[in-house]
Amino acid sequence: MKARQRDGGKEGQRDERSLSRRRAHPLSVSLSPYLWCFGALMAALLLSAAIGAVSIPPLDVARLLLSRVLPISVDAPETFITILFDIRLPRVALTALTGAALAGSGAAYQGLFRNPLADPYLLGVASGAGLGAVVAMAIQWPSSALSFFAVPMAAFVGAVLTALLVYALARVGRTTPISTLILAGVAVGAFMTSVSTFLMLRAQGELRRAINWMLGGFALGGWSPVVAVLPEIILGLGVLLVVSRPLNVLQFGDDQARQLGLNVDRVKRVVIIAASLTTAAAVAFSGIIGFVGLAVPHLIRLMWGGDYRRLIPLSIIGGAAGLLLVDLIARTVLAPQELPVGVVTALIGAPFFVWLLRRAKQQAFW
Amino acid sequence: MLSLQSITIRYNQRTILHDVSLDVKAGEVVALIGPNGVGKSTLIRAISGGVPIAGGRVRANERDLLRLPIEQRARLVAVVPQAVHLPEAFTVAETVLMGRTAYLGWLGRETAADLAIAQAAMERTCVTELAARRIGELSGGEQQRVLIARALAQSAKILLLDEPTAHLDLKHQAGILSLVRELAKNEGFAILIALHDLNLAAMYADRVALLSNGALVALGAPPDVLTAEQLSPVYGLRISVYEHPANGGPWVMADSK
Repeated sequence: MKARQRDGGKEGQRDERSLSRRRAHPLSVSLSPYLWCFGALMAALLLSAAIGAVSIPPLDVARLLLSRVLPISVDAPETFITILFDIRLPRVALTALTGAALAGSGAAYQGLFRNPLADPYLLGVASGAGLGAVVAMAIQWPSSALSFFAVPMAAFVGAVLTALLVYALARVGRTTPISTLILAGVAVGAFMTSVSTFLMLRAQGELRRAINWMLGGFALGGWSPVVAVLPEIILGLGVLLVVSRPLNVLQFGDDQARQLGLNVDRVKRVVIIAASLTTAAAVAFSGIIGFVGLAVPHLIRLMWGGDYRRLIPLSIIGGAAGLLLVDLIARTVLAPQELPVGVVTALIGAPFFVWLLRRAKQQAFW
Repeated sequence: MLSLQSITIRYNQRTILHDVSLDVKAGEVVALIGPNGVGKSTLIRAISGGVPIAGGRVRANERDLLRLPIEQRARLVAVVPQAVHLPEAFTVAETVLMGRTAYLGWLGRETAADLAIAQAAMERTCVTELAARRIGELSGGEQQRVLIARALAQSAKILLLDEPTAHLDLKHQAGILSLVRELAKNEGFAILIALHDLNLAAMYADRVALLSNGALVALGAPPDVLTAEQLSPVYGLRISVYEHPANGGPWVMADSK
């Protein structure tokens, strides 16, 4: 008896060490994924700002950017300054925000539906947001500050309604199988897209320009779209970062999550609203860009695991970097002509999705 | 400590359980037994709020459990589910820490106290060595111990277990059920456990509750409930009960003919 107690004591000490090691471990090791993703983002930002019809040396880009915050003088041509601050940076900012929003909300939808194949595009939410945005643009083409804010708001309404509709259609009894979820998402999404297309083709004048937007092109220039979507994206992604721990608990299923004391229905509502808000803001001025919300979280999951406390922030950073790089490809392969970025993401993303499906068939998920 | 008062559960107009009343006191292990599909798991889910009840009341520590907010329920009653379909993304330590969900603020930050409680729970079920392993790669017996540790981390004094030995070999069955019994005897937990193995119920439970056709047909000490006369009609075959050669308790055998 005494011996057992002593044994237990020793084991206890060892255990304490192992737990403290575990607690230290996430921080020390998880710093490197953040460094990787952040480094990729910085590189993508610099490259995107530098490359274009007029190339600005990356060093000049860095100097010009720093000159705005630090008192240093730069001897770059005046045209560089105009191109960088009035044309290229707004585009870069909107692209980065869109990528962050799509990948962040994609990761959240995956957690919500407990399935790595969920993404705003496959669930039809992006198309619903697109229809909302088209309706707003049809009522008034964004020119004033107010009409710029109206587009993401209308997209948000479209996104939430679509998410609820798809979820209701996909439900079989008490469960939501991924097969019916994706079927419902694709069907509803196709319907929404065709209504949007119809509206755009029927429209006179300005709205015809939206066709390029619909394919995922950054049609509107300047800082106004960035300012209009920034608050929604910050709010939406902020909420998603907070609910990352409840999303972890949810991975054990609704029953167990409830037994552990999680208000499951409230968490689901919050995630749907926050992820739809983020998706809507991304779609509002960037159009339908597929597969980013699927591919980026999945690559991060493969490399650094499925803990949502890490997956969501890393997806946000990685999504920004990823979409910037894809946009760079879209701008340069056929230069001076520009491909809609959504075309390129689909070109890369669709084979990736097929590979994912094949993999999922071979082994149980995760 | 836990008191079920005439619980009735209906699902799609069909009555699953009718008028089941049952008390579980602190320090006591009560086993729920009965044929497959009789509603053992449903009853456990209903107590934890996963299935709506059509009538009756669940009282835990003198409080009407199902009227409490979800977080408070989880602080009174912890459920150990069967170790199936566990997500692979999490380590044992992370899984056990999820037992603290009901105590965390809205930012979900675990405090040093939460870590200490999770640590103690892992020690109690002997899974500390596995802390950094992923739950998906553990054996069934180890997973079940992790889930018990997670329930202990909830600091609830009422434990509900749903067939925790279902897929385990003899050694792990005995290990899990001895642990369950110790928790009741040494630490005063009130434990309700669904079991399909009648001999395990006979060996480890203080009382057994026999369910048949949606009703509680017998409740009492194992020798009083586990009799050939009561079991044979419930299971629909001839059952013999002998005296266990080692402990003198009931020993249930199905007759082959």
